Parts: sequence; C-alpha cells; structure tokens
Amino acid sequence: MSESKKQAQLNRREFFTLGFGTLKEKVPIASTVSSLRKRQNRRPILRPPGSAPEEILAAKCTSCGDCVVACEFEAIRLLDHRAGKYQGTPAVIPRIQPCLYCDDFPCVEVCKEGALTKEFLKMGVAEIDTKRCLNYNGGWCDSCFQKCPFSGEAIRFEPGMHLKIDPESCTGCGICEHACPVSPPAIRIIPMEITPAQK
Amino acid sequence: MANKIKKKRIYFKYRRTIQIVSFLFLLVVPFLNLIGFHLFNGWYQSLGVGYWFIASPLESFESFLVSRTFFLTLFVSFLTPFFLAFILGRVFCSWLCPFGLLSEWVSDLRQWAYRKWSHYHHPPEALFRIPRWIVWIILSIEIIASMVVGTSLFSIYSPPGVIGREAMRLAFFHIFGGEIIFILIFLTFELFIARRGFCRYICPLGSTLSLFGGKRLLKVELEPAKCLDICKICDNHEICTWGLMPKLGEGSSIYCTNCGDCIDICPFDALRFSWKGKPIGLSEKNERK
Repeated sequence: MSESKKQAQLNRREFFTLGFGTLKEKVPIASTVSSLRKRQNRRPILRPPGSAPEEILAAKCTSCGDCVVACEFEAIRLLDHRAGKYQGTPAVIPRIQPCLYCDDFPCVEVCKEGALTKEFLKMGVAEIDTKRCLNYNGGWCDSCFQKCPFSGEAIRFEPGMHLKIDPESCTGCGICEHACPVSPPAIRIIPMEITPAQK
Repeated sequence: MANKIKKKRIYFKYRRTIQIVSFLFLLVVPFLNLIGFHLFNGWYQSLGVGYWFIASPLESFESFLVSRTFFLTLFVSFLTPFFLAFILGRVFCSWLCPFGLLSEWVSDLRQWAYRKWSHYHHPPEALFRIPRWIVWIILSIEIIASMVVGTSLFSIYSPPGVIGREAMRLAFFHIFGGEIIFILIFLTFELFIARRGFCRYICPLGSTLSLFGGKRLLKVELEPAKCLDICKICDNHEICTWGLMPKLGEGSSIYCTNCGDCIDICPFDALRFSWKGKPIGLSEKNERK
C-alpha cells in the first residue's frame, strides 16, 4: 500500500466525525439536534429577575411572552428554537440591553405561570476576566465602575487598580457587562444557580 | 350541491366576524403594547386583560404536571377557559382560534381545488381513513412525552400560541422564530392529506376542551318532527368541516364545536341550538321564506 493511499484512508470514527461535521454545517436541523445533545455543557443562560430554578423553569414557563411585553426597556427576549426544550423561555442578554431593575418588577407582576416570582430577585453575580480586563493589563478603565448603580458597594477599586466585586450587593443586572469596552466583555454575569433543594 | 340552496348563513356571518376580529386582535396587540397601551397583553396561550388572566388549559396542566408545584395564579387563569368549555363546549376551536380561521380557508381551498381539477363529486375527507379516536392517543402521548422531556411540549407547537408569539417577535425584535414552520407544516397537511386534519385528528388542546365540554349545556340538536328523512344535506361531509353527521345525533357528541354551520344549512329549521334541552336560536332565522 502506497503512502498516499494510506493517508486517504479514514478509520470509521474519523469518517463519521467528518461526515456528520459537514452535515451539521450544511443542514440547520442537524445542528439543532446536536444543540439539544449539548445542552448540558452550554453556558448558563442569564434569566430575568425572580426566575424559577433552571430545572423547573422550562416546565413552568409556557413561553407566553408576557414578560417580554411588560418590560419597558426590551431587556427580556425569548429564546428561539435553537435552545431546544428551553425554547420560548425568557432570557436577558446584557450585551444588548441589561436589566434596569424597575421598582415594581412589571415582568414578575404579569407572570401567571409562576416562572417569575418575587422570591429570588437576584439574577447573578458579576465576574471579572483578569486576562482581558484593561486594569489588569497595564491599562486604565472605569466604565463598569461608573455605570454600576451600586458603585463603591458592589464594585470597588482595590489598591493596585484592581476591581473587586462584592457578591452580596451585586444584583447581576448586567449594566457593567453592557458598558465594558472590551469585546468580548471582560466582565460577565454568572447566573445564579438555584437548585430546588435550596428553595 | 349544497351551496346552491340560497339561505342566509346567519351564524356563519357572526362566527366569521368574531374569528377575523380575534385574529386581528392577536396581530394588533403587540403593536399596541409597543406604543404603551398595556390593557391587553399576550395571546391565546396566556392572555391578560388588565388583571384578568387567562391561560391555555393544556399548557397549564402540563406545567403543573412537570414542575409539580401548585401556583395559585395559574390555577385561577385556568378556570376561565375551563368554565367556557364546560358550559359552551369547544367554542374556542370554531369561534376564536386563529389557526381555525386559516384552517377553514385552507379547507375551502381544498374543496374548491378538488371540484375543479378532479373527478370527485364529493371530495374525500382524507387520503386514507383516520379514526377519530386517535386524538385521545395523541393527547396521552403528548402529556407523557412532556413529562419525559420536562417541559410543556404543546407550548412549542401550539398553533394559536405560535401565531401570537410570532406576531410579538415581529413587533418587538423584527424577526420570526423557527417555530413558524409548524404552522406551514400543519396547513400543508390539511391541504394535501386530510381536511382540517390537524384540528380533527391531532390537536391535543382541542381534545382537552372536548373532555371539558362532555356535559356541556349548549348543544346542536335535531327536532325529528321537522326533519325530512330523505334530506341528507347535513350529513354531507362538506357542510360540517369536522366531518360529523348531525342527523345521527353527532351534534351532541363531544367532538362537536358548536360552530352552527349545519344549523345554517338546514332548510327545514330542524337543527337548532339547545340550551339544557330547550331550543334557542337567533330570531332572524324564522323570517326566512
């Protein structure tokens, strides 16, 4: 067997990986199916304030979109078919529009399914990626500090121009992520993981 | 042919008006919300009129089954459609459902196309015989599959829900979601395979409403004294889009949606709505010559 022929041969695993890889690129349905499979490893979705635990959110939410309509700032969007069984559940994408935490929580008021309740109003906690943040890389920037509604409490400067986030007072609204000049953002909201046991 | 008999289609007139108003309502509400008018919000999956909340019964029930938590607001919103179906029967399907309107238009198109391009005198109801009890099997599969997957599956493909949701997506984000393809699939199924196939043989929401309306007060009943034996106008499948035969008493079966099409077509006023067994009806009907 010549050297070139040997290279052209694929073993079974390579053949299927290559074949299905191309299929996934060409056919959108195939990618939808694979996204269903991968949902365990996906990045956690940032939910609107007061959302039920992730395990039962898909069950509680009937994807009626009342919260989307109720939000004055268009911060809440519905996930589409790519989210698999989480299709139609509400999410906040801070990079597009952060949650501004209205006083009376209209999104929670209108929810009749109990997917949004006034029990867990904290959305998440901000986290700084020190590899990308300008302050850690010889630069100077205070966009997130300036925009944060609780600046000084939730986010403050430590000696050496290092930013520190207080997980207690941070609400996870995402205004800092919206304001971050670095792309992809150096400060991100890590959604709260509330398990039913904690409830 | 049935259509050649000149007669005022009185219930049909009201029904089509209500259907079109309810369809336009779905399309207009998101745009009203967008300009700050918040009296109405949502659509037939979950509708809010001020603080009066209405939620679709099947989705609420699935949501309750899957999440295993009792939420009082959801239960209260479940009551309105439940009592509507309990008293008036499956009126949502024929008088309000936006997909029902599209489906009736597709059904008219199908009948017209059959008469124009085929040799059928009476177009067949479906390409192959589909038993009517299949809705119960599909309802059971739907509920069990929802519990397996862990989400209310009907909320993904529910046609009235999808139409409202896509209208909202169009108003707020100027895009359509991928679920709109379900509407196209169902309409294609109805056009080529079975007349009103989705509504008759698949829709789990319809069968849920059927269950609720099993002992309803408003029924279509036959007055045997006025009925002429040889007249088979109501048994003609083209009249009842649900494929029922009111002459055999199927007007009071649980599949009837109280649309009133058979009452409109009856030349002897033998068929009429009855409320707890007493005949009721619109007065204009008696003026007909």
